[in-house]
Amino acid sequence: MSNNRKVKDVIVKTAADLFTPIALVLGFYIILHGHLSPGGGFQGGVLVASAVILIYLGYGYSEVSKRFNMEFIKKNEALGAILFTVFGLAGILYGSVFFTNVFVGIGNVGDLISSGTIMFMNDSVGYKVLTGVGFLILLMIGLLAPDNEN
Amino acid sequence: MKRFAIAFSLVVFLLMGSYAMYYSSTLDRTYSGTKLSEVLKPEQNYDLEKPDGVANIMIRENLKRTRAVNAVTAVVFDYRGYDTLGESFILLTAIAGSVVILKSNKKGSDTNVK
Amino acid sequence: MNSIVILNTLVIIGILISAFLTVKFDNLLSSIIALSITGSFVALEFMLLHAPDVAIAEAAVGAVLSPVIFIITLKKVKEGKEE
Repeated sequence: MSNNRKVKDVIVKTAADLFTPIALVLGFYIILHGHLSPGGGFQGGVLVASAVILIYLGYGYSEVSKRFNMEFIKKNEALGAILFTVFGLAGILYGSVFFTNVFVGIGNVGDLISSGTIMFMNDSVGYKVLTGVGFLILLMIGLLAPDNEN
Repeated sequence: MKRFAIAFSLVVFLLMGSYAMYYSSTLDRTYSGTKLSEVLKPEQNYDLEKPDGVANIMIRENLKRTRAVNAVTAVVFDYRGYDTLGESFILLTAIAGSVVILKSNKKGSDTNVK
Repeated sequence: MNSIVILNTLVIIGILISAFLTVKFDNLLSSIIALSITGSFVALEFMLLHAPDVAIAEAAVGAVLSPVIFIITLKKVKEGKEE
């Protein structure tokens, strides 16, 4: 019975090792190319945050709590929200209304750095969703930790 | 001193916000600096009889106005920015609420054990 | 009969069957797995309807995130019941 358990552990750990880089790379690609290809900040952020689940499945809660600093992640979520609001306020500094697209003339159609503040807003929303959903998953996983009891 | 700083900043924000609201109510309705009536000028391009006149602008002049290939992201972050702001703050509020509930639960069980 | 129409019909039948099983199962863990399968089929249907943005969001949220949160909640509730 213990032997069977060990084999299952190896299979899950190998699958987590294989799929975590794929989820991370696909999520960051979807966030960064949100204005060029399908997807956007929210979708890519949720994909990156689901890598936390894969790490938890492969290595357990002790490794996850050792790797991730929850206070740091919580502060960075607020930083993402503030960045998004600041890019919205850039329209007022430019002399127009809230959420005006300011640097629209930079870059050609199809470049990575083009389409003005859309790209920066997309990245900040992606950062915010990444940290927020990742923090939510870490919080939910922490409820299951066996060493929290007693 | 701290309470004075909070009250002072709130008063400044209130004054600036009310002035911005008054000033923006006196402006013309524009999109990226051009008036909305000017945007709709070549009337043969747009089917103004149907209710989706602005949707025609979003689809046909998207590349010229925003230079974003993905039209959905352009709509979400440029034409409908307020919606995205509210949506992202809904997520922030939901996570803050779950933090309050789950953290207090854990602390209560700790005090029960002691 | 077009092949796209046949594929659409199969995916919609899959959505209906898995959604019915979600309600029908007595075991809650099986019900959550059926909900995850429903999310995957709905994401495939969005992909067939040329909406890749919604398909990515649905595949990430409906097929991965919400079943994981449901399973964690189910495990926590069962732990509390035993004590």
